[in-house]
Amino acid sequence: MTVKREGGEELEIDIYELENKRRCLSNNEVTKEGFVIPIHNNEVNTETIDKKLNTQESQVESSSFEKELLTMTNDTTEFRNPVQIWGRPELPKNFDIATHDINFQQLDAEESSLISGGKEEGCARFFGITDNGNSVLCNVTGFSHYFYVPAPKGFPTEFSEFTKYLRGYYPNMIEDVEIEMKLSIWEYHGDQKLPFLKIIVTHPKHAGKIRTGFERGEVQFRELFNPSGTVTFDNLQYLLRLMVDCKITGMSWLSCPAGKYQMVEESRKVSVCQLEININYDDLISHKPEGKYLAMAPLRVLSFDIECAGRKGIFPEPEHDSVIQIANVVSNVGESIPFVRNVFTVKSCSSIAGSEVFSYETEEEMLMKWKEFMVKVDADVIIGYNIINFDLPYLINRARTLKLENFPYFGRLFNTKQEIKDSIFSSRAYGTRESKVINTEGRMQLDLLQFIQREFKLRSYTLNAVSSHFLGEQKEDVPHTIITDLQNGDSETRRRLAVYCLKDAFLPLRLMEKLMCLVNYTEMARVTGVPFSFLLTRGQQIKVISQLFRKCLDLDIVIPNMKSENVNEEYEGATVIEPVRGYYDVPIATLDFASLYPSIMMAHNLCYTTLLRKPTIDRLGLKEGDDYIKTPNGDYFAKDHLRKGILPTILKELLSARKQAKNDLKKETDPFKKQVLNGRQLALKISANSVYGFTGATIGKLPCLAISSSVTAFGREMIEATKNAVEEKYSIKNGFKYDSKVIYGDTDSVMVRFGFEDLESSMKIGEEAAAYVSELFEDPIKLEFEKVYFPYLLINKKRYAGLYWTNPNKFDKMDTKGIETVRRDNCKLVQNVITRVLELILEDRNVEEAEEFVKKTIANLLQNKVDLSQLVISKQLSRQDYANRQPHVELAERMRKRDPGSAPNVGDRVAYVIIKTQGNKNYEKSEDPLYVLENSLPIDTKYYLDNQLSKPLTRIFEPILGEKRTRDLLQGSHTRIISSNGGNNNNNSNNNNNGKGGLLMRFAKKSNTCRGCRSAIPATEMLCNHCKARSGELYGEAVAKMAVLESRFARLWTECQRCQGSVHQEVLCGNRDCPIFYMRQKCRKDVAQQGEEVAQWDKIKW
Amino acid sequence: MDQTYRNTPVYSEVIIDNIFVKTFSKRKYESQFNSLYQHRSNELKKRVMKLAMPKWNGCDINGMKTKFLPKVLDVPFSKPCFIIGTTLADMKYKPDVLKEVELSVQGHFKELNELNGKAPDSMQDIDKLRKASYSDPKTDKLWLEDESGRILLTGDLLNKKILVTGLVIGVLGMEIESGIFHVVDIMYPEAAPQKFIEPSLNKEGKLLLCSGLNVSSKSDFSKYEMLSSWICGEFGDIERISSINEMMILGNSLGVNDIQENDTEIKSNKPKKNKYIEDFNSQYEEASVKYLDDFFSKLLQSVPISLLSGINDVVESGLPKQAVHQSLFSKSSKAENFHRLTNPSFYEINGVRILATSGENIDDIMKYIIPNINVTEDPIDESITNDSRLRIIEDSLLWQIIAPTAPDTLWCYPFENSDPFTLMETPHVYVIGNQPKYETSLIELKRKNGESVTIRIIALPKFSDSNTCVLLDLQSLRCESVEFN
Repeated sequence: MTVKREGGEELEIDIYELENKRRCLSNNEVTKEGFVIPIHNNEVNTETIDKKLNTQESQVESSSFEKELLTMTNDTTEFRNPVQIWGRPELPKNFDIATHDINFQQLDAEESSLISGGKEEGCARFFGITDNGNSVLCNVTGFSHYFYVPAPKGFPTEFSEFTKYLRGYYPNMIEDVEIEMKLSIWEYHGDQKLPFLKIIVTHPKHAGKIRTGFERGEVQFRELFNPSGTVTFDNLQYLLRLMVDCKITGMSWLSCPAGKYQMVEESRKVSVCQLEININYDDLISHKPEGKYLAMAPLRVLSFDIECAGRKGIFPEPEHDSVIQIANVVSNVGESIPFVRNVFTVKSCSSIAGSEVFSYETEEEMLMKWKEFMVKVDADVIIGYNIINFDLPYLINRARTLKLENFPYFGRLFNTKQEIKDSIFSSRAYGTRESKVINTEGRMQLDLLQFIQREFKLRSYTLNAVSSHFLGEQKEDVPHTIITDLQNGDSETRRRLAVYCLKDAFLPLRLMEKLMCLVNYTEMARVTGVPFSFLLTRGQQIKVISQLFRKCLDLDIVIPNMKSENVNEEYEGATVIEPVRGYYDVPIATLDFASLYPSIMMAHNLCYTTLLRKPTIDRLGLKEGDDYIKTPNGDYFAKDHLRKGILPTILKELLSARKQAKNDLKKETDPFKKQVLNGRQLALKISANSVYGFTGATIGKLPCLAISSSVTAFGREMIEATKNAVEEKYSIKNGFKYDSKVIYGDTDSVMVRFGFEDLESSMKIGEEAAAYVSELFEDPIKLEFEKVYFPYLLINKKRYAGLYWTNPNKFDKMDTKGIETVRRDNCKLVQNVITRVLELILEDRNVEEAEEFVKKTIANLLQNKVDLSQLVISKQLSRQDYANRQPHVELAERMRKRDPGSAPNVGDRVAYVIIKTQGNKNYEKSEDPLYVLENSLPIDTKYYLDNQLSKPLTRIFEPILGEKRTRDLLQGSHTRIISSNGGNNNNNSNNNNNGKGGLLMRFAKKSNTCRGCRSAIPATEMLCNHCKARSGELYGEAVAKMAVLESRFARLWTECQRCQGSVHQEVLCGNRDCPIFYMRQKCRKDVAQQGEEVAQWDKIKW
Repeated sequence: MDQTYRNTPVYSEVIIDNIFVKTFSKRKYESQFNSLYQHRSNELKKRVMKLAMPKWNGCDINGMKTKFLPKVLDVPFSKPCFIIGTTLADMKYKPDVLKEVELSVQGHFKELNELNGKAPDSMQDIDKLRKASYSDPKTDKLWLEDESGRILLTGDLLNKKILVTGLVIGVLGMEIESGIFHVVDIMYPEAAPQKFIEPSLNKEGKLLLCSGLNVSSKSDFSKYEMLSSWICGEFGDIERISSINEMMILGNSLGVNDIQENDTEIKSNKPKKNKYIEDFNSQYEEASVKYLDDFFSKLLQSVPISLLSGINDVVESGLPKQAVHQSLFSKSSKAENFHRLTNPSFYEINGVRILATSGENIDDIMKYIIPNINVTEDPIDESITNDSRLRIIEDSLLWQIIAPTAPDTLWCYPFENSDPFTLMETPHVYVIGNQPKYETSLIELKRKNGESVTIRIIALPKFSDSNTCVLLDLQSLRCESVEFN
């Protein structure tokens, strides 16, 4: 090619030549023979390329997941020899049981039996990992289960007769009976320890039977025992008993010294662990999680996701629908890049950079290969999103359908089959939840869905919503309906599916890191002593029980086995000082009691062991005030010189351990250890707070309302006392500039208006007041000054907003309580409007602009310009029948009739919008947002104004503007322009069966109106005669709208192409949680509609 | 075909192709943009292949023979090969609608304001930068994609070439790291055939080219008066004027209404709107439109006019922009020699095939390269930093796509199974309106069969800034500029 250029000089250059020249022919790039690519010199700078790939700054296509996968393969040799190593590291070459200690972190524990000397005995199995990554199964033997029964009065000191009797009554079940001096935890009766019979059983499984025998009065001996039954003590399951007695906490490190343990013979091994050993519990060494035992073993975390080829419109069922892909990602705890990334597919699948693809012709083969992979990679923790209720059961059931007998054996015990059980988990803190339970012995399970549902309140729990919320990224989502089509396509379409599947396997891993669930739960297990798995499957109580037993063991205290009685005895809760509502334009100082309930319990020595009854007081001649206190609730508790309570001791330890952890945290520099310490201090805080709840749990293990009611009563008294003390002291009559006023107080804090207008003085006096009030209360109760709100909008009890200041130079954040910004049954619009309004009022202090903003938003709403995603309301579909008919339930029913496959199931959150219908019942007006868009149904904007926006806005504005102006805000002239748009333009498509509304619309005739003045004109015209002169202007408006919609359409759809990482493939994404999902659908409708409108202008002759 | 597109010639036979016509009544917005990309790559891959095969197949890199690989995904490690695919430029300052929407939907108004440059100063700079450029040389990335996947391109060569989103090119090189392809040579598609200029049709005559009148209420109208006086022969110069067969106006006849707060006079002319009604920011300004209508009417008595629509004219935002509506210039539209054209347009006069755009395609490409181009002693690079658009225009003919960045950053209609921006015919003349200065060149592209096609390139300045028009001789394809002072 040649370029000839004119204008001045003419130059003629061969373009190839030109380009060759500019490619720098000069040195080593191009030789006569061809091209040279410099591979091993600085010119190809890997680092810069990596930097480019990894920079977060580049936003445009950063969401492309494939790119991310790529970056994980910086090691080219690994990528090009795509044999990722699955197996565990080999045992040390010179391993010898006589010389090698085995140190391991135990992860999962379970009760089991061993046959020893022809006798079946209980043992505990601990699965664990050594610090060099070898897997261990350690059987702890020799520990016998036991419980206590108080020795009845007159019980002989020589009791071999009794032992004999008992052995006879329960043949082969009684190991031995001993007498120990113990105290019951229940009430203070003096310091005299009493004799308790320790009933030691031969096997843990017998304990329950014998215990019941005592409790029912079946065990009788010389008529010493109460015929109506005897209370037994220390009812604790075997595993926990062993852990308590051996001082083993969850996730802690254990050592088996060389020579003390025995290898299990090869033929008797039951697990796939590299080391399978037996050790007597006496020889086992348990380490406190301190120093080097703070570490985590290199645990293998496997995250996986499956894809199923469903039938159209039906949620996949394992009896019919095959599993077509399984993506797996395995990572070592603490390492950022997973060392295994692969996907198992049925039928061929094109390769994916950075990941291995294993393709099989049949589903059976794939499943079996996957099982082999599971066993080989030997994960310690299995994670995923909804794996417990979906993926794992689906795989197991599918394998059963396919008659793959050998499939469900992927736990660590190779002879134990994986089975699915149903469980209902009910807890006051977490509510009732149905769940499946699948045993994967030796492999912990952590379902991120369950974790997040437990720990966070979110609008939506889909993986999309959750990743967007925590990881800040939108995710492409394949609708179920097209998975089968992709599978039935070619290796390219299956590759596309595999990339999605891989991403879904990756996300749980990233969520786990981000939310630090493994670390935090590990610390929780260590602090409370329970095994890891209890944290997800059991409630709060077991954690307190575990701590209580640990403490009692040291103090020779035993705990009665109380029959849980279902008395729903209510007691008075915390107090709330009546709020003085209003908008405060002066700093409001907040004084908080730090850890109020735990400190009350510590300060007043409230405990089971210190609880006093009147007869005991009289019997021991105790003096009120000196020896015991009377709580505001009227209960008596011994002071700590008589006996130090266990609960206060536990609390003290927890809180001082927390302080220690926080101090260590400050000093620590290693990011992983920082995480650990932070997790620990959090766990300690939660644990401390749950102690109070435990004593008040009436259906609990050891409820004691005397404690819990006294705690709250003290709390109420203290809040009142604080109020009085502050108002009394900081007053004009005491020489202060202003009279202070407590404007609000709740549970453990009071809000004080000291009157000062500047932050600095307010903060200073806040500090002072906190110190002053603290002195009025007993140690360790402490009132702390934490923050100042300025300005502060106090709407009602538990409803307020303010700017939060901890230093006078810059506010920390905007803090809101009980305001619609967080409530989930509101639509996003409400949340956004309120947030913005509060920002304007509190941060910008511009009430006028806030009013203007509200008006504009309402106008937009009424004119149908608010994006549909902002109007979506979501509610969870629960199982029980609702008393009243509810919008989301009705909608779910209607959707089921339309298409049973895509209808929401129990437990799902149903997303709906309210539309205009003939009827006026809200439950009739709910509709699926997508259906609304597809059929252009009209939104009931008035509902949104009256039922959603109105109340919260009134609440905010009334204290500021007064009633009249607030009403004007919601009903002023800006609400008069109402667009009838949406639904009236093309309802040819939906006039068949759309309820009453649709029927009515069929009769409504659409008349043509002038585009200028809206007067009726013949159908062939655009303008009335009067407006024809304005044709240019009016056409201009029509085309301007077209221009806006066109560019919106183009921007939205190109964005989706970028996000999916391919411009050659169609966008399939159905992620309804993505903010542009509805927008792009609506825009497609709008732009087509406006195109028709513009086309109308072309038809007219001028 | 509609009457408006085929007129009884007064001076010359003008034939207007309808490839860029997409009447509103026939629009469907059901398809997505992948269809356009698919079509583009199907068409151009073949043409790249034609040139790449003979040059590259079996050539030597690091002592190894190269071969063609049909799928980007199958690129082997450390083995030389060549592949063909669509380029994608990943750039920091490309508009990011998801981010904007996300912030507004999530209620992060402060961040949104920052993003839109309303709040802190530092962010405003980014917004300003985005108006001129998307590129941040530190993080810019170029990918090559086909149906199977994409690969990151690297190598010094990339810095010396103009490469934007949406090109179909062949690259020679090898994967030096997983997913990273080092490029040593680049191949563009073969040029589309050019029509033969029928000597019998190629009568003597001139085409008067003009763009960017930018008439607005604030314009200095004397320059327009001068132009029309000249055309009407009031200044003499009869020989030149009488040779003009047609006048072509390449967009932006109307100017931007830049209403400032203190322009109370202009403001009061606009009908007062209820502030709670959404304003789509119509460009329509009655006085200016009326002025232009009269202006055209007067000219039409002397010369036929072809009018392309541009960004500022009252038209849609996406490409191809349809012709300006008749209701705007109702007087002129009645004249038979007034041709309202799409933008871009393919247009034949005296047998000469002319491709014309009003310039937004080139302006958008500029945004991909401005900060990125290395200033070296190379005369071509230098001319680019001097605001020359010539090389981009020349390159876009090498690419054989006149608007490669549509739909990525330049909005366009979602064509189904077609891409009007891919050249299926090489024009004789390629005119681009609304450029910073007048430039012209002649380039020659060789086709596989040995024939070569020659194209006259004209970058047309904005009349409102330069007072300059260009006369194109329809026989010699030589240009001269006419400046009014």
